[in-house]
Amino acid sequence: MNHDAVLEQKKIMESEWGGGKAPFGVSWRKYMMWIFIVSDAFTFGAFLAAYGLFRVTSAGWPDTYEVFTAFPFIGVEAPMLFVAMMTFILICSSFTMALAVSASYKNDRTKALKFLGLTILGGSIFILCQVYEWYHIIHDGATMTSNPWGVPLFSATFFMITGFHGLHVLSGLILLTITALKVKRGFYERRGSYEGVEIVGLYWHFVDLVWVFVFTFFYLL
Amino acid sequence: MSKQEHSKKVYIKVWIWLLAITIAGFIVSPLGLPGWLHNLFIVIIALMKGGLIVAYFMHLKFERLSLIYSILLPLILIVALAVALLYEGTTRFL
Repeated sequence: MNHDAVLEQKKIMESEWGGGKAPFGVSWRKYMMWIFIVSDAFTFGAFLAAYGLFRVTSAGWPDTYEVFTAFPFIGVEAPMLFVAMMTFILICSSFTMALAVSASYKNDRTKALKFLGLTILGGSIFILCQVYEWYHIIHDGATMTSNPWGVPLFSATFFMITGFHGLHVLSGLILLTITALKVKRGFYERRGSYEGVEIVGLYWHFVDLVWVFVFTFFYLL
Repeated sequence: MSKQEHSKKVYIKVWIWLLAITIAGFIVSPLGLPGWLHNLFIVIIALMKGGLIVAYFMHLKFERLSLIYSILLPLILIVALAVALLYEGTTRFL
Protein backbone atom coordinates (compact mmCIF):
# COMPACT_ATOMS: atom_id res chain seq x y z
CA MET A 1 0.00 0.00 0.00
CA ASN A 2 1.32 3.41 -0.85
CA HIS A 3 1.55 6.16 1.66
CA ASP A 4 -1.63 7.98 0.54
CA ALA A 5 -3.75 4.83 0.82
CA VAL A 6 -2.47 4.23 4.32
CA LEU A 7 -3.34 7.78 5.30
CA GLU A 8 -6.79 7.43 3.73
CA GLN A 9 -7.36 4.18 5.63
CA LYS A 10 -6.28 5.83 8.84
CA LYS A 11 -8.66 8.74 8.26
CA ILE A 12 -11.59 6.40 7.70
CA MET A 13 -10.82 4.35 10.78
CA GLU A 14 -10.59 7.48 12.90
CA SER A 15 -13.95 8.85 11.78
CA GLU A 16 -16.94 8.19 14.04
CA TRP A 17 -18.55 5.48 11.86
CA GLY A 18 -15.43 4.29 10.01
CA GLY A 19 -15.11 1.02 11.89
CA GLY A 20 -12.24 1.97 14.16
CA LYS A 21 -14.43 3.26 16.97
CA ALA A 22 -17.41 1.90 18.84
CA PRO A 23 -20.07 4.63 18.37
CA PHE A 24 -22.34 3.04 20.95
CA GLY A 25 -19.58 2.47 23.44
CA VAL A 26 -20.14 -1.29 23.59
CA SER A 27 -18.74 -4.32 21.79
CA TRP A 28 -20.67 -5.71 18.84
CA ARG A 29 -21.68 -8.77 20.86
CA LYS A 30 -23.36 -6.70 23.52
CA TYR A 31 -24.92 -4.39 20.95
CA MET A 32 -26.38 -7.33 19.05
CA MET A 33 -27.93 -8.64 22.27
CA TRP A 34 -29.51 -5.24 22.84
CA ILE A 35 -30.88 -5.21 19.28
CA PHE A 36 -32.27 -8.70 19.82
CA ILE A 37 -33.88 -7.56 23.05
CA VAL A 38 -35.56 -4.63 21.28
CA SER A 39 -36.91 -6.95 18.57
CA ASP A 40 -38.11 -9.40 21.21
CA ALA A 41 -39.77 -6.54 23.06
CA PHE A 42 -41.70 -5.86 19.85
CA THR A 43 -42.88 -9.46 19.76
CA PHE A 44 -44.12 -9.37 23.33
CA GLY A 45 -45.48 -5.86 22.82
CA ALA A 46 -47.51 -7.12 19.87
CA PHE A 47 -48.78 -10.05 21.95
CA LEU A 48 -49.85 -7.81 24.80
CA ALA A 49 -51.39 -5.18 22.50
CA ALA A 50 -53.40 -7.88 20.71
CA TYR A 51 -54.46 -9.23 24.11
CA GLY A 52 -55.61 -5.73 25.03
CA LEU A 53 -57.64 -5.48 21.83
CA PHE A 54 -59.26 -8.89 22.45
CA ARG A 55 -60.06 -7.93 25.97
CA VAL A 56 -61.71 -4.59 25.26
CA THR A 57 -63.70 -6.02 22.34
CA SER A 58 -64.95 -9.09 24.25
CA ALA A 59 -68.33 -8.95 25.94
CA GLY A 60 -66.71 -9.79 29.25
CA TRP A 61 -63.48 -11.10 30.65
CA PRO A 62 -62.93 -13.71 33.37
CA ASP A 63 -61.74 -12.41 36.73
CA THR A 64 -58.19 -13.72 37.05
CA TYR A 65 -58.54 -13.60 40.84
CA GLU A 66 -61.18 -16.31 40.48
CA VAL A 67 -59.34 -18.39 37.86
CA PHE A 68 -55.85 -18.54 39.33
CA THR A 69 -56.54 -19.71 42.84
CA ALA A 70 -54.64 -22.99 42.93
CA PHE A 71 -51.66 -23.42 45.21
CA PRO A 72 -49.97 -26.78 45.67
CA PHE A 73 -50.06 -28.64 49.01
CA ILE A 74 -52.03 -26.08 51.04
CA GLY A 75 -55.49 -27.38 50.16
CA VAL A 76 -57.28 -24.02 50.24
CA GLU A 77 -57.88 -21.53 47.48
CA ALA A 78 -55.38 -18.68 47.42
CA PRO A 79 -56.15 -16.15 44.70
CA MET A 80 -53.05 -15.09 42.80
CA LEU A 81 -50.69 -16.22 45.57
CA PHE A 82 -48.98 -18.76 43.33
CA VAL A 83 -48.36 -16.24 40.56
CA ALA A 84 -47.04 -13.79 43.14
CA MET A 85 -44.58 -16.43 44.29
CA MET A 86 -43.48 -17.03 40.69
CA THR A 87 -42.89 -13.31 40.26
CA PHE A 88 -40.89 -13.25 43.48
CA ILE A 89 -38.74 -16.18 42.31
CA LEU A 90 -38.01 -14.60 38.93
CA ILE A 91 -37.07 -11.24 40.47
CA CYS A 92 -34.73 -13.06 42.85
CA SER A 93 -33.13 -14.97 39.99
CA SER A 94 -32.59 -11.67 38.17
CA PHE A 95 -30.90 -10.39 41.31
CA THR A 96 -28.57 -13.39 41.56
CA MET A 97 -27.78 -12.96 37.86
CA ALA A 98 -26.70 -9.37 38.55
CA LEU A 99 -24.50 -10.66 41.38
CA ALA A 100 -22.99 -13.27 39.04
CA VAL A 101 -22.05 -10.51 36.57
CA SER A 102 -20.68 -8.45 39.45
CA ALA A 103 -18.56 -11.39 40.70
CA SER A 104 -17.31 -12.29 37.22
CA TYR A 105 -16.03 -8.74 36.68
CA LYS A 106 -14.05 -9.13 39.88
CA ASN A 107 -12.62 -12.34 38.37
CA ASP A 108 -14.14 -14.31 41.20
CA ARG A 109 -14.85 -17.56 39.37
CA THR A 110 -16.22 -19.54 42.31
CA LYS A 111 -18.65 -16.83 43.30
CA ALA A 112 -19.76 -16.22 39.71
CA LEU A 113 -20.42 -19.93 39.35
CA LYS A 114 -22.36 -20.02 42.62
CA PHE A 115 -24.63 -17.16 41.59
CA LEU A 116 -25.10 -18.56 38.09
CA GLY A 117 -26.16 -21.81 39.75
CA LEU A 118 -28.67 -19.95 41.92
CA THR A 119 -30.03 -18.18 38.84
CA ILE A 120 -30.47 -21.50 37.04
CA LEU A 121 -32.19 -22.87 40.13
CA GLY A 122 -34.59 -19.92 40.26
CA GLY A 123 -35.39 -20.21 36.57
CA SER A 124 -35.99 -23.95 36.90
CA ILE A 125 -38.36 -23.46 39.82
CA PHE A 126 -40.20 -20.82 37.80
CA ILE A 127 -40.60 -23.22 34.85
CA LEU A 128 -41.87 -25.97 37.16
CA CYS A 129 -44.38 -23.53 38.65
CA GLN A 130 -45.56 -22.69 35.17
CA VAL A 131 -45.95 -26.38 34.38
CA TYR A 132 -48.09 -26.69 37.51
CA GLU A 133 -50.21 -23.73 36.50
CA TRP A 134 -50.69 -25.00 32.95
CA TYR A 135 -51.52 -28.46 34.29
CA HIS A 136 -54.10 -26.93 36.58
CA ILE A 137 -55.79 -24.70 34.03
CA ILE A 138 -55.87 -27.51 31.45
CA HIS A 139 -57.32 -29.78 34.11
CA ASP A 140 -60.04 -27.15 34.64
CA GLY A 141 -60.94 -27.56 30.98
CA ALA A 142 -59.10 -24.70 29.26
CA THR A 143 -57.90 -25.22 25.68
CA MET A 144 -56.74 -22.91 22.91
CA THR A 145 -60.30 -22.61 21.63
CA SER A 146 -62.52 -22.95 24.68
CA ASN A 147 -62.58 -22.68 28.45
CA PRO A 148 -65.12 -22.93 31.26
CA TRP A 149 -65.04 -19.17 31.95
CA GLY A 150 -66.88 -18.26 28.78
CA VAL A 151 -64.45 -16.17 26.74
CA PRO A 152 -62.44 -18.50 24.43
CA LEU A 153 -59.82 -15.82 23.77
CA PHE A 154 -58.99 -15.74 27.46
CA SER A 155 -57.30 -19.14 27.47
CA ALA A 156 -55.95 -18.66 23.93
CA THR A 157 -54.07 -15.51 24.95
CA PHE A 158 -53.06 -17.11 28.25
CA PHE A 159 -51.42 -20.08 26.54
CA MET A 160 -49.81 -17.96 23.83
CA ILE A 161 -48.36 -15.28 26.09
CA THR A 162 -47.26 -17.36 29.07
CA GLY A 163 -46.15 -20.14 26.71
CA PHE A 164 -44.01 -17.79 24.69
CA HIS A 165 -42.54 -16.36 27.86
CA GLY A 166 -41.93 -19.85 29.22
CA LEU A 167 -40.07 -20.72 26.03
CA HIS A 168 -37.84 -17.71 26.68
CA VAL A 169 -37.18 -18.89 30.22
CA LEU A 170 -36.30 -22.33 28.89
CA SER A 171 -33.91 -20.90 26.28
CA GLY A 172 -32.43 -18.71 28.99
CA LEU A 173 -31.82 -21.75 31.19
CA ILE A 174 -29.97 -23.49 28.34
CA LEU A 175 -27.87 -20.37 27.69
CA LEU A 176 -27.15 -19.99 31.41
CA THR A 177 -26.07 -23.61 31.69
CA ILE A 178 -23.69 -23.25 28.74
CA THR A 179 -22.31 -20.03 30.24
CA ALA A 180 -21.85 -21.65 33.66
CA LEU A 181 -19.92 -24.52 32.06
CA LYS A 182 -17.75 -22.02 30.20
CA VAL A 183 -17.04 -20.16 33.44
CA LYS A 184 -16.21 -23.44 35.13
CA ARG A 185 -13.77 -24.45 32.42
CA GLY A 186 -12.08 -21.06 32.53
CA PHE A 187 -13.14 -20.05 29.02
CA TYR A 188 -13.70 -16.39 29.90
CA GLU A 189 -10.59 -16.26 32.05
CA ARG A 190 -8.46 -17.42 29.10
CA ARG A 191 -10.17 -14.93 26.85
CA GLY A 192 -9.51 -12.19 29.36
CA SER A 193 -13.09 -10.93 29.37
CA TYR A 194 -16.21 -11.98 31.21
CA GLU A 195 -18.46 -10.07 28.83
CA GLY A 196 -20.20 -13.31 27.80
CA VAL A 197 -21.65 -13.61 31.30
CA GLU A 198 -22.91 -10.05 31.13
CA ILE A 199 -24.57 -10.62 27.74
CA VAL A 200 -26.43 -13.73 28.94
CA GLY A 201 -27.33 -11.63 31.98
CA LEU A 202 -28.92 -9.01 29.72
CA TYR A 203 -31.10 -11.70 28.18
CA TRP A 204 -32.10 -13.07 31.57
CA HIS A 205 -33.02 -9.65 32.93
CA PHE A 206 -35.12 -9.12 29.83
CA VAL A 207 -37.02 -12.34 30.50
CA ASP A 208 -37.70 -11.04 34.00
CA LEU A 209 -38.75 -7.68 32.56
CA VAL A 210 -41.25 -9.32 30.22
CA TRP A 211 -42.73 -11.26 33.12
CA VAL A 212 -43.27 -8.01 35.04
CA PHE A 213 -45.48 -6.78 32.19
CA VAL A 214 -47.20 -10.12 31.52
CA PHE A 215 -47.94 -10.41 35.23
CA THR A 216 -49.29 -6.86 35.36
CA PHE A 217 -51.42 -6.86 32.23
CA PHE A 218 -52.61 -10.43 32.21
CA TYR A 219 -53.01 -11.25 35.88
CA LEU A 220 -53.38 -8.04 37.87
CA LEU A 221 -55.41 -5.75 35.62
CA MET B 1 -16.72 -1.10 33.30
CA SER B 2 -15.97 0.72 36.47
CA LYS B 3 -16.53 -1.13 39.73
CA GLN B 4 -19.29 1.24 40.75
CA GLU B 5 -21.59 0.09 37.93
CA HIS B 6 -21.57 -3.50 39.13
CA SER B 7 -21.60 -2.71 42.81
CA LYS B 8 -23.29 -5.27 45.01
CA LYS B 9 -24.76 -2.61 47.27
CA VAL B 10 -26.72 -1.04 44.41
CA TYR B 11 -28.02 -4.45 43.30
CA ILE B 12 -29.26 -5.27 46.79
CA LYS B 13 -30.96 -1.88 47.04
CA VAL B 14 -32.66 -2.35 43.65
CA TRP B 15 -33.74 -5.88 44.61
CA ILE B 16 -35.36 -4.67 47.83
CA TRP B 17 -37.14 -1.89 45.93
CA LEU B 18 -38.41 -4.39 43.36
CA LEU B 19 -39.81 -6.66 46.06
CA ALA B 20 -41.32 -3.72 47.96
CA ILE B 21 -43.21 -2.30 45.00
CA THR B 22 -44.32 -5.79 43.92
CA ILE B 23 -45.91 -6.23 47.34
CA ALA B 24 -47.38 -2.71 47.09
CA GLY B 25 -49.00 -3.75 43.81
CA PHE B 26 -50.61 -6.68 45.58
CA ILE B 27 -51.99 -5.11 48.69
CA VAL B 28 -53.66 -2.36 46.68
CA SER B 29 -56.01 -4.83 44.96
CA PRO B 30 -58.36 -5.67 47.87
CA LEU B 31 -58.57 -2.00 48.92
CA GLY B 32 -61.53 -1.42 46.62
CA LEU B 33 -60.17 1.64 44.86
CA PRO B 34 -62.08 2.86 41.80
CA GLY B 35 -61.15 0.78 38.75
CA TRP B 36 -59.25 3.43 36.83
CA LEU B 37 -57.19 4.48 39.86
CA HIS B 38 -56.30 0.88 40.66
CA ASN B 39 -55.28 0.22 37.05
CA LEU B 40 -53.23 3.41 36.90
CA PHE B 41 -51.45 2.43 40.11
CA ILE B 42 -50.71 -1.09 38.82
CA VAL B 43 -49.36 0.20 35.50
CA ILE B 44 -47.17 2.82 37.20
CA ILE B 45 -45.75 0.10 39.44
CA ALA B 46 -45.00 -2.08 36.41
CA LEU B 47 -43.24 0.81 34.66
CA MET B 48 -41.22 1.54 37.81
CA LYS B 49 -40.18 -2.11 38.06
CA GLY B 50 -39.28 -2.23 34.36
CA GLY B 51 -37.31 0.99 34.73
CA LEU B 52 -35.35 -0.34 37.71
CA ILE B 53 -34.51 -3.59 35.93
CA VAL B 54 -33.41 -1.88 32.71
CA ALA B 55 -31.52 0.96 34.39
CA TYR B 56 -29.63 -0.98 37.08
CA PHE B 57 -29.72 -4.74 36.42
CA MET B 58 -29.12 -4.23 32.69
CA HIS B 59 -27.22 -1.02 33.62
CA LEU B 60 -28.48 0.86 30.61
CA LYS B 61 -28.30 3.95 32.81
CA PHE B 62 -24.52 3.81 32.67
CA GLU B 63 -24.22 3.29 28.92
CA ARG B 64 -23.48 5.92 26.31
CA LEU B 65 -26.42 8.15 25.41
CA SER B 66 -26.44 6.93 21.79
CA LEU B 67 -27.05 3.36 23.01
CA ILE B 68 -29.74 4.47 25.47
CA TYR B 69 -31.62 6.27 22.70
CA SER B 70 -31.26 3.47 20.17
CA ILE B 71 -32.79 1.05 22.70
CA LEU B 72 -35.50 3.18 24.25
CA LEU B 73 -36.84 5.24 21.33
CA PRO B 74 -38.07 2.26 19.23
CA LEU B 75 -40.18 1.19 22.21
CA ILE B 76 -42.46 4.16 21.47
CA LEU B 77 -43.78 2.02 18.59
CA ILE B 78 -45.09 -0.56 21.08
CA VAL B 79 -46.95 2.14 22.97
CA ALA B 80 -48.29 3.47 19.66
CA LEU B 81 -49.54 0.01 18.67
CA ALA B 82 -51.21 -0.51 22.03
CA VAL B 83 -52.87 2.91 21.94
CA ALA B 84 -54.04 2.41 18.34
CA LEU B 85 -55.52 -1.03 19.01
CA LEU B 86 -57.18 -0.03 22.27
CA TYR B 87 -58.63 3.09 20.64
CA GLU B 88 -59.88 1.06 17.71
CA GLY B 89 -61.30 -1.58 20.04
CA THR B 90 -63.16 0.82 22.28
CA THR B 91 -64.58 3.18 19.67
CA ARG B 92 -65.67 1.06 16.72
CA PHE B 93 -66.95 -2.17 18.13
CA LEU B 94 -68.97 -0.92 21.05
